[in-house]
Amino acid sequence: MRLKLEGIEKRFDGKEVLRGIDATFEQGKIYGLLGRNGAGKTTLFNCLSGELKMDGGSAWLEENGSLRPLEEKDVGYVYSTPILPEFLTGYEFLSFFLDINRERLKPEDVRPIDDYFDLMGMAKDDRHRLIKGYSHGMKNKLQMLLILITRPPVILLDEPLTSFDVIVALEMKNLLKEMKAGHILVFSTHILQLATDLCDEIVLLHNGKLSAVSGELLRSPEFEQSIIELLKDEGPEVENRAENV
Amino acid sequence: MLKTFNTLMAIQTATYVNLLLYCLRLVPPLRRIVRESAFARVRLKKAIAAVVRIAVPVGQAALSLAYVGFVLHLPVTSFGERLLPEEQLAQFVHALFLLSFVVAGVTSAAMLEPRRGKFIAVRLLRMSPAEYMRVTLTHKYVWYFLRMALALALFGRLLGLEVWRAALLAAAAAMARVLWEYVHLKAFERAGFVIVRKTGLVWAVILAGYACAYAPLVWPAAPSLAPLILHPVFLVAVIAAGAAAAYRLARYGNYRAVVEAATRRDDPMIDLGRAMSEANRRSLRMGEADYALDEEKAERAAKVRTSTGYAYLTDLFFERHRRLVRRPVHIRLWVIAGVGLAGLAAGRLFAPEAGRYLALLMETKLPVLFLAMLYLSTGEQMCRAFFYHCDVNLLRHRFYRNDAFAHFFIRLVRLIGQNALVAAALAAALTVVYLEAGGGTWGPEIVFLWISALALSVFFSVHHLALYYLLQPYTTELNVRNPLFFLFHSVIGGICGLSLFIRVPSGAVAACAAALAIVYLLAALVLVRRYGSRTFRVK
Repeated sequence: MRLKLEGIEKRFDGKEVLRGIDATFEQGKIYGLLGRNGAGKTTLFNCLSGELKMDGGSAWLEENGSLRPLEEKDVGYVYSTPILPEFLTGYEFLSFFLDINRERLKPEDVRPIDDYFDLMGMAKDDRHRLIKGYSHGMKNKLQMLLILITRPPVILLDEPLTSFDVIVALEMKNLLKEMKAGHILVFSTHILQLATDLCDEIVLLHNGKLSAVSGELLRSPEFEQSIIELLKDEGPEVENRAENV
Repeated sequence: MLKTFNTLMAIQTATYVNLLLYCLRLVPPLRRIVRESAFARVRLKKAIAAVVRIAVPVGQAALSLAYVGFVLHLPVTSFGERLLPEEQLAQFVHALFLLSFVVAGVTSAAMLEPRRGKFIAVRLLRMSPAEYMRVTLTHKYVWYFLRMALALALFGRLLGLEVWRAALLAAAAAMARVLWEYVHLKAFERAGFVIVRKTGLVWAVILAGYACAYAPLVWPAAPSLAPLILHPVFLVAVIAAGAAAAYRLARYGNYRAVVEAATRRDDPMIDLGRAMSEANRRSLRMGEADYALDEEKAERAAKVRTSTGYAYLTDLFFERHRRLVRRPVHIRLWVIAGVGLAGLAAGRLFAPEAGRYLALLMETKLPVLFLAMLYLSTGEQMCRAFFYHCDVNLLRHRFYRNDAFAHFFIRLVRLIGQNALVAAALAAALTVVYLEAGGGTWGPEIVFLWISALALSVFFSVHHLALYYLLQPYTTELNVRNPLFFLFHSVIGGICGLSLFIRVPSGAVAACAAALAIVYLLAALVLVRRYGSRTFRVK
């Protein structure tokens, strides 16, 4: 399974944020999308998830050798700040979510609600507390559960581990590693340490263009310094340099 | 003084121009034409400023005409249509005196009014407070005199008021307002009393003022002040007193303290958007106790588990927000009960007139139900509660937006039930007052009343909820940021306001209300099904 992006463009008020994004992402790998603040990482995710309409280009999903346009239902989007209905308990929310997705799920994929919470290691008492009282980490686990239930082929994670404590961050990293076999995982971050720890490949979003960073550089000691140099650069020559590193 | 005036005008115009560009950019098709870079285009903004300089005073003059036309002239000619022309003129002048000379003097004085413009001019631009106040007051009341003279001459002429007397009335109204400015100043200087901040007092004056202004129209025995007001000696005395106040205001030496009291940095009135947002949040705030999951609440929540999907979500929403959801209904039921009891008492006290008025209401004035149900409908409060406590979070999820029609329909049924209860209470109260105090008898009018009230409860439930789903106007700060939403609400509000002055047989009103409710309901169902998933989202 592959996600292919062809010439994606997005403008806001005449300002070009994405200027022809071309890339291919494969199943079984975790991709780190690096870029400076305001580079357009969230805009790209919003375009792929259908939150925003692209001004140009297209996104395709290749499955079993056949290519079809990427649809909204193919994409699971995990927000950096989990946004959930606070007046429900975690158990009630999951119960509601399973209700409304029952027709879309295969019967063998539907498990008892407690099994999902067990999967995330959420204590029994916490399941019946209002989401309003959940910590950031618990909310994020609940958000991830929605993805685990619906199993979309493409999962986009916007700054997913930025504000977790070390334990939750480790749990989430392990979860993402487990999930990558059956999905195309792309997460945006500007934390280089996280990118080197978790990602199989790195792509840079700079000056509205996406460019791949070579595997050797990712594992080399000069990785951080090289990325900083690349992101500091202005102008089109950076794209050529990134492809060559 | 002229330089200060020009500076103030320039600030005001620049603010209006930026506001205009900002509002234009809120309308999606115009957003492509008016780009963000427009704020930096000086020549364009200067051209717009020239138009604004003309449009603002023209708009203000139009507002004065609308005020005199709708608030003074229309009630007199519609409620007092059986009066002789000179009696209508007397009622017109009576209402003018109470509303423009008295109520506006208490509620709309500029002296201690917290205003953003005052804050910018004095605190940020370091303008002299005395200069600012003198220029502002002079401009305000000279311009007020001119606008009122025009409006009174036009509408007064329709009632037989001579132009010179209209001009004299306008001058007296302006000078009465100057006199009130002096009263506000003295109340602050002597006792630190800021009248415009005493909300209770201000509202008491407004309610009493409007009640006294219109009382002679519905209760002929109420005293009218017209003979006194129209007497030239009285008008000249008011003008002389106003002139003396103007002289004292011009020579006053401690405007700094006055302006400082009205421009505190943390004053929410300086930033109205923030004030409204905070007020909205306060009105929707839930206490810790509301969310505490004790055994009783857990039991009630377990009971709603008989439903599934969006019905389950809605049941839980209503269960967890019981106080918030029920409060507007309870308030309305109490108000209806109070007004019903007052109606019963008034019916007994003013027996023949009240009976005639109630018969008139039931036979030909039922259109007033449009206005009554607009205000009694709980739709707006419910939509804000839905947004703030549920949708603001769930709308970030695509599945929730895609299923907009599913939750719209479930909520609509709940909202109609809630509003139908209020409508039934209103119809019941009116029926009891009509039969018990008005001497009415059972007849088709009562059936028409019930049909109209219930149909309008459906109409306004659909109106509020459909606009919420189709135009989703709220921002995460709970401000309304959709000009189309304002427009639709204003149009419906305006039409409902006009219904006060329409006379139609009650059978026609019932048929019209039922037809409108059905058409609006069907249209809303079709539109939300087709467009809801695209339009119902967080801005």
